[in-house]
Amino acid sequence: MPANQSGAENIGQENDSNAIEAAAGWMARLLADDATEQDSINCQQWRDQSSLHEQAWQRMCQITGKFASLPKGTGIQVLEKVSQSVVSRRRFLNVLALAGIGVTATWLGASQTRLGRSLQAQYRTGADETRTFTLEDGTRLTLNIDTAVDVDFSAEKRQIQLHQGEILIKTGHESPRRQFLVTTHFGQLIALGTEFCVRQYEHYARVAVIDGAVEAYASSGGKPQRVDAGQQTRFDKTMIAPPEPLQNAAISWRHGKLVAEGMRVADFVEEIGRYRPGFTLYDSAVANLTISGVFSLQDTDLALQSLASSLSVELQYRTAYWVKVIPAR
Amino acid sequence: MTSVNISSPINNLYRDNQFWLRGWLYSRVGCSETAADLAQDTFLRLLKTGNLPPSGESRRFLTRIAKGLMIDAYRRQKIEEAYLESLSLMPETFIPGPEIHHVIIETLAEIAVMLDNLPDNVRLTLLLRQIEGLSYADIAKQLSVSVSSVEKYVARGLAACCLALESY
Repeated sequence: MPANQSGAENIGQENDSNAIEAAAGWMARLLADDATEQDSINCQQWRDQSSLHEQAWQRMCQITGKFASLPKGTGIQVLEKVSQSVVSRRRFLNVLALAGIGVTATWLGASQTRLGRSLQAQYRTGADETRTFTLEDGTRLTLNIDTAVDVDFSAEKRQIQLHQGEILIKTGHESPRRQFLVTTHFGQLIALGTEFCVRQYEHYARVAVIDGAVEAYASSGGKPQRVDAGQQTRFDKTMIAPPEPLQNAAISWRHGKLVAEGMRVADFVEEIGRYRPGFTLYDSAVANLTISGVFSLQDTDLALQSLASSLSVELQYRTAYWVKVIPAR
Repeated sequence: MTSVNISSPINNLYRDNQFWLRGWLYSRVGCSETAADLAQDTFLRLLKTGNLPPSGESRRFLTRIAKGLMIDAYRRQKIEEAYLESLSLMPETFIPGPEIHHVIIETLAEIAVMLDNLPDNVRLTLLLRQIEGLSYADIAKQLSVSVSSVEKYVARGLAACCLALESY
């Protein structure tokens, strides 16, 4: 079972990755314009030091060989185009062994689907980055991790389509003022001169208003709901919940922090898990414990450690990519 | 467990979640054939890695794998499109024979995975050096960085490629 091997594997991997880094350094040296005979001799000496070194070197040659097999011109053009048009694959999947998979011609329809649209969106962030853009009217648009957004400004209105993820908007001032709209899968938000966060979940969306006010419209119609500064609410296609007091957890990501105020461990783990590669799980026995404090979203290992030191829970690591919060023994 | 018996964990997992996973995929890709293919690939992946989800986490686990496969498939399609487009712009005599198109697309897909998540400068440096054959000095000029940075980018890029390839 993988669980029994994980300790040994981790040690192996560490040595391995050191050797690979060193081999990459040698390769980069030998590829340099000013590589000397002495560099080759030194590299050979390094390779002779251990079989681990030699293996790492061989792997490096495989990589350079792959690049070499591509036709000039075509390769770089295609790869650059693809890297610009396709959102980065979530890092966690890199740890799973991937098999080649068959793609049917019908997949060509993908660009018309929800996934296709979000992969082709104008503004995107990957699994480990947030970004801020200034739009033409001075609006500041910040994308949290794994977010895809299209911006469409016309003579009458400014519209932002949130395909997936979470955004913070600080609307720009202009006069005359065009209407400012955010569209989600579940309905629309009309900004009334404001700063607010919108997050799209699988089955609903949430808006949290920091400054000004927002009017929420569920997509199936019905009465709009006004959400004022210091309030948040959720809505799906059919209904909008009554606004409740703003929770810091909904907006603290903009400072790279998670501010938990009596947060359930289940929600905490779910939230931290968004910022981590791999699987972040919890045992149902700890789900309803609550935690308060300020946690780093940049160093989620540290955040999990703080959780473990403030509650009677433990972290069970199967690999670096698989951690589970369990009751303390 | 040497013999395959019908109540093995993977069989149970398949039996209990197969239809559900197809539905989940269908709602995202909007095509039942593709959804069925991706669902099969998801289970195939599980079989290969032998990593079974802990009880109660099955569906979350399956959808994570499936999402990755969707992105791979999508990227693969984009590579094919971009490749064919680039061919149409080439003078005929330079076009590689159709028998090696498949091999080139395979390699491109593999390299795209390796380059995934690399910072722009590192990725570009590697491509310019390894595919275009530019010298470090020329790359340094193009990217307005020092030659020693170029060497660092190459080393960093190669190491990342190697690690990515291993988990591929």
